[in-house]
Amino acid sequence: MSVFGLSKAERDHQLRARLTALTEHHDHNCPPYSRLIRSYGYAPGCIHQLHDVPFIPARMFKTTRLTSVPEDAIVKTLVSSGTSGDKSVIALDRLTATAQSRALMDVVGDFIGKSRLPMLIIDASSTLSARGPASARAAGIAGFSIFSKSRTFALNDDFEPDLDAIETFLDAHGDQPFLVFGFTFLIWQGFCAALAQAGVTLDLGQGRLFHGGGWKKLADKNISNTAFKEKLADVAGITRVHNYYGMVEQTGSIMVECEHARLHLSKYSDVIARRPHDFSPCALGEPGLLQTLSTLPESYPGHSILTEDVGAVAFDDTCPCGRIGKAIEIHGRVAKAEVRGCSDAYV
Amino acid sequence: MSDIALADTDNVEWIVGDPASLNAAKPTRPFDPAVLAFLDAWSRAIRAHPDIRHFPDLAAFAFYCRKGNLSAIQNSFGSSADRIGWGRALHIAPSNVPMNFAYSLVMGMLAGNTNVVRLASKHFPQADIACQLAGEVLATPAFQPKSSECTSGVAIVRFARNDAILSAFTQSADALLVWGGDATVAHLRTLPRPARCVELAFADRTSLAVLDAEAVLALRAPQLASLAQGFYNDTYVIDQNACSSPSVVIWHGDDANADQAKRAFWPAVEALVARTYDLAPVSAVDKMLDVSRHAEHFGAPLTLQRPNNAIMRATLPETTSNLSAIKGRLGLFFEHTTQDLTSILPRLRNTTQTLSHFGCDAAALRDLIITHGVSGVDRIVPIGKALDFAHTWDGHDLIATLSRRIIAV
Repeated sequence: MSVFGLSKAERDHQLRARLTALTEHHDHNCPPYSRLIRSYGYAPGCIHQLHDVPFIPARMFKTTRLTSVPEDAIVKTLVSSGTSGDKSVIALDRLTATAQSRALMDVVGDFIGKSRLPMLIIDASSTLSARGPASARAAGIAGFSIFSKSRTFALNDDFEPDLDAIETFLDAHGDQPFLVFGFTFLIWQGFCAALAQAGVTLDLGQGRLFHGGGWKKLADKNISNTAFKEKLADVAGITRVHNYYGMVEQTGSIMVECEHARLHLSKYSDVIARRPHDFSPCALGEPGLLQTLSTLPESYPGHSILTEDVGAVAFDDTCPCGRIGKAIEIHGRVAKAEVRGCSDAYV
Repeated sequence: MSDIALADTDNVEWIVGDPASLNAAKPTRPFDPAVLAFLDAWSRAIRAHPDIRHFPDLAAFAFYCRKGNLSAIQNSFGSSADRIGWGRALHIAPSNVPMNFAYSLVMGMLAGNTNVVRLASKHFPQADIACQLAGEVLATPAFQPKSSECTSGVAIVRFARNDAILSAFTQSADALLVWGGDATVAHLRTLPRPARCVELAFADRTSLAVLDAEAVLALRAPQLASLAQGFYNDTYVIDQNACSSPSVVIWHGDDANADQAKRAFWPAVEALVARTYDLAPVSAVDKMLDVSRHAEHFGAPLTLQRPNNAIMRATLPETTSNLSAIKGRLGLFFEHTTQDLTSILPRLRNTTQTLSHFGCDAAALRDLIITHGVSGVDRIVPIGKALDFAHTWDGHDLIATLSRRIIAV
């Protein structure tokens, strides 16, 4: 069955069953998770609809080690980017790690087919061993590399276009389908803007670009998704562009932008927008804090997370691209709050 | 007093005052007439400012500094003939209570010191207005030429966090007031200062409220609304995040009366919150993390009443041994009912600052605290007054502490 082929009734039934089972499993095996969801009203048997599935804040992974399996079952730990003391720690056992890999292949495979392709990475090779914030890019590159037959880095260590490397890549692979991958802001700044400034035009017409990492920096410069795509077409000839939305707390079950610019949810995912006032579910199209659900996390309670992204469920089953299921819009990060009071952050 | 030694390259903004005048000024007796005249003029200038109605805390400060109030404080202080300020007082203001710096400055001035206040980097419009007006008043003929020691010795500065500059100030301070909580206090304690420097450290505090159930039940609707407003003013106006805002609410009475009183009280508070308080979306997430932290502390889920994210009440587990460790903010309250108030005394530590109350005998409560040797609770005030500043703060009589008494035999 297609990864984007679940009807509404099917998803409500199947996802609910799976997410209920996951909730019970994590409630039983992860005490901090259990304490929080029960504080907010969860009790076994209370899930009748998808929106009854309890959630925990994404930020909790930064403050608490959350696992639902014995420590010796953990085979891999994902650590998000961020300042020290501020990183999410995600503990994977073999089952969850494999499931997440398979899901990613399924989801992206729906766009690129089953065979591995040559991949041009819009980043510098030094990023692979980067620490700190750049390590998120390293993780993204490593994740997407499962689709690659070979990898070429399009930027030099100064994060400018390495025209020699790109030319070599195009000579070898340019007349057949290939993948392009990178982080949204770096693609704009280190690739598109740099090429435009140098007056260089490339022909990456056979390339299909997947990019993620957030729009905040481009939004700050008033650059829309449309403008981003136009520039890519202008300077690099890329016309197949897929933004994806994902997070370290739920790898594998990413949401991908289709040919009609909708971010689709696969059979592994669901999203509910929540009203900050009382966490009730928003209506279709109504913006709220996004709760993301994933059928994959078993070794850690990441199956239902309240993010700090604001957005809306925009479509349900009606996208012209033919993919069935929800699609979402991301509006941006939730605004910081100026909390009043006595205690300092000594500034 | 030794001079403050700053290098020319030190990037210090002198919002009010200047180094030379500050270094040259000397302490005086408490309640120096020139100081009182300045504070009166400052108070009137603030009250006349067109924007004052936008800033209730600025208005409250101006009200505190009015002649009548300062006279009352002076009268209650008694004779200061044998007293003099310690010298130069350095005040480190907290970063998110806009008018705190001004109260600290007033205490230093009333005690007879020259004063330098270091403001936090964050600007607040009401603080900016107060500083601007202070500068204007000091520039008027009444306070020129600089014959008045205390008023010429007023300085308000701002500089980015920098230990070298801070040390230049601390190592010549005769008195040091550090506001802003445990971390700030710990940091300032690493800096050099004179051996005899008198230090006041305002560390992290928590607070509680005690309501008598029968007294609440006896209230008619307008009085209940007034009590709810007072509670709101102690809490929500500052995101329930002041040290003096109650995190714990104790109901004094039997379970039946307490439950009925809660059913009267909380809807009134909820209605006010719905009308007047805007919980930021990210704060709803912050509160989940606070709930998680408290649940971990108790070793069990909280029993939460959550009509919405802006007002949440948890029942305090019977076994909670340390009420001072409970800190709710942004509208998260921990409730407990008891018929015997002495049962909560052993659960208070020295970090508990304020006990705000309704329907209780404050003097009797104070007596209980003293006879039971409780190390916390510095003030017992009616609900609605928790955030009011007073010159006895955190257990210190600030004017007495910031001045010295000379014995002459």
